Amino acid sequence: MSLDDENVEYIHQKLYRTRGKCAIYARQSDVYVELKHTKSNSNARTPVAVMAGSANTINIGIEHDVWFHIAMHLDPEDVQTFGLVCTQFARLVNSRVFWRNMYSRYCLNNGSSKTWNLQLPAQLQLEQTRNCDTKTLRSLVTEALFYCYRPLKQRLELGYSLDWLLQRSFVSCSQKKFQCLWIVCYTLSNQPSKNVQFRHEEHQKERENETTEVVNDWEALADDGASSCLNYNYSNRHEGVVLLIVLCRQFMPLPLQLLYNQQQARFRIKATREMLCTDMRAKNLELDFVDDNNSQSKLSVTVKYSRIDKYKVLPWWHPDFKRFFK
Amino acid sequence: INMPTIKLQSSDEEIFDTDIQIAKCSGTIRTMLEDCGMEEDENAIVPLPNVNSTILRKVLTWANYHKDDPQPTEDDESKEKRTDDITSWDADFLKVDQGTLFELILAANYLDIKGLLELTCKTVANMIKGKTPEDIRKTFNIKKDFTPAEEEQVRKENEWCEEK
Repeated sequence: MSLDDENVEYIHQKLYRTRGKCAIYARQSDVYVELKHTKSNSNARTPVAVMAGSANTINIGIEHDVWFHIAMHLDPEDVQTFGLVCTQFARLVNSRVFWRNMYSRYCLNNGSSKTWNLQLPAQLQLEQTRNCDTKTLRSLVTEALFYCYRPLKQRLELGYSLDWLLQRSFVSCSQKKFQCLWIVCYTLSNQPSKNVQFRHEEHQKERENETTEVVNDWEALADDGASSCLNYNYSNRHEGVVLLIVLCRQFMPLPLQLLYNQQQARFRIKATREMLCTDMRAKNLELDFVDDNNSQSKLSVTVKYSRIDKYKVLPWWHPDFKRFFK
Repeated sequence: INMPTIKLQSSDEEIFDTDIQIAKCSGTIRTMLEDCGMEEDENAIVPLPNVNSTILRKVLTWANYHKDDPQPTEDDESKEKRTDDITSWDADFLKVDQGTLFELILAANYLDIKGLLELTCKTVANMIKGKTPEDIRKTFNIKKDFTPAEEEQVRKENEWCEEK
């Protein structure tokens, strides 16, 4: 190895160890421009001529621009269907610009950003959506849509059925007395399955590993925002939660088996039943819980509420949700 | 009355002699004319390298029909965009294959013609309405690339759209 080679090797090593921060000045002969071949990125435009001949075989991977504009014209109720088409579409409906656009289309006062929309509570006004992360923005806009967008408002008026509770995991249960009524509140969640958590942890580890490596591909780093994998994180702790509020005239003990189980069981609702009492003057409500953690033991708990006054299902986007959620 | 005209050149080098008023529907062309002082020069050619002649012809047909429409204001842009207010002329105009429709979206975006961009996007948004994700994949020839866990997660994140 010549002296020059050793020098070059030494410089490379030092640059690597200090992640490019060492005070080494490159000689003029060392500086050169090299053409770097990168993978086609999502911002690249397709030549129009390519598309002209392909009426029914549009390469949507490249046609990001087109789908971006289309996404900006979706009605709120079509968001889920659109997001479920492919990962590219899921990313579009998970982006900040998408939710800002949704808010300005449906939740601003006559399209004006200068005045408050009096249909919305203070926490859902435009200022609140400005300095929050994308996940929080998404949940704020979703909540705001249920105040401002007529088809969604109508759903609130019709109420939510017990079907919204099915397959959700039990989180907590509380009870309090209000005048002559007992109010029981169940908190149920559609928390991510083990697989997704595992996948997320993997991504986390990958990201940690990536940060320890020396970055020498700055274009890829700049493009990270656009090409990063779907980031599935529930940033708002109430997202995915549904409350069941049961009003009873008589005291009903809390389901202790659900609250203080010994086997680290994780209960989810398997079935619900709403039945008329024999005198036909009130209703009974039954909730079947099964243990998800111990599939072999098949532990199940049925909670029965007889002669209830009424019940209400409140998903996290419901305007009344936060009155009961602790 | 002789309206002043302008020459537009498509990507395949076809020249379109167009009324300036119609060409000015496009924000891009308007800016080019104003910034480059091409308005006074009768022989000036405005190159449009991102639009081919077939699409440019369609765009000009649309612009000619809508030349008297009021220009959308900034407030109009953020107003609720309804997907069911397409006129019958526009609906007939957009009875084209998917490739052309998508090229019109790209052209409207490049030429900065808000009305046409909105119309074409609304048309595709309407094609999506009421369809299942599988139907949409079939219609637009899109490959499903979700893992089951990812798909489930997208479903959960947007469950507020569901009716049960």
